[in-house]
Amino acid sequence: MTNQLPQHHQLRFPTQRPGEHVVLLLRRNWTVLARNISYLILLLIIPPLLFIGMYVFTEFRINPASVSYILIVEGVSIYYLFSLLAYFHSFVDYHLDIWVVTDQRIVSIEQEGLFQRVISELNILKIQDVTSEVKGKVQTFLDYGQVYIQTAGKAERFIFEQVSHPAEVEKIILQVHDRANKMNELEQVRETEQYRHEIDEQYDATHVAPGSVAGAVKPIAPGEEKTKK
Amino acid sequence: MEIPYYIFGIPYLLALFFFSMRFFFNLYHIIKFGFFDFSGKMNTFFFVALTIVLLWITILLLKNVPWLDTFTLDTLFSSDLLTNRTADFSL
Repeated sequence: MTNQLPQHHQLRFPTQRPGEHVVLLLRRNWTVLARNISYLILLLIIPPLLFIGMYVFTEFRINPASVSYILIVEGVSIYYLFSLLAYFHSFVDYHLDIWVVTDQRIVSIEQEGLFQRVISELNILKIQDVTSEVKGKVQTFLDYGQVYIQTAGKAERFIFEQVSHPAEVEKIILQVHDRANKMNELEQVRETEQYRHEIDEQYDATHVAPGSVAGAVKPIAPGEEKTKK
Repeated sequence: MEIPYYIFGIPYLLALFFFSMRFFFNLYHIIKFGFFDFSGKMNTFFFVALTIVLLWITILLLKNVPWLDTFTLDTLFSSDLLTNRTADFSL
């Protein structure tokens, strides 16, 4: 991991502000989706296996000119359609849960069912502590786990669940936080200098001697200088 | 008592209706909130394509059924539905 923060300029996410740069866009580890896909495959192969088993081991035959044919075709069609739907629903749930780290904030978007969506935001400057956790053999082997972000905001803790490479995510978040702090300090110094400059200009404008050019030194006549000495 | 074949289509259409409701709700959510990267678009495309293929195959398999014809309960239970014996209609 280099010192340079990754910048995903092409990535956009819902509620992104203009000028905001995405550093990390995280979802749950691919194993969550792989589990759903394996369930789907299992569901899809059950009917063919059943029919093959019945054809091979019994005298079961489907007569295309019978009522049972209609029922079997419709039944299998509904079964496959709802199996696909169940997978797609779990995919939508997986896909719409995202955690975004930008140069300005951390956004957590969680889809809970079809009709409930929770969006939480945290100013990057309000991060107090970041902890990563990898628990269990599978998580250790596949390097995914949880990242906990302690905040000074209303939501006390943000949790990134089952994300890949949690230790690196933790490092990146701290780097973004440090950089944002430095930028904030520089911005404050710049604003202070600008304010001071404005004050000086105002002072110069109000304290200029009448009849003379502001800022110019009054010339001293040669005789005058000798007399003064 | 004569029963039309389309009676078997009604539960199927009902199930299809519930499927469509859930399908469109999921599609709406993925398009509105999750269409900003490639994996969302790809999975949505595959899901929609597979659904269309499934429905097309179902229509193909059922298109020759004489839905408006009728059968009786006697013939339904007397004919052997699970063998190659001739039943009420031929495809």
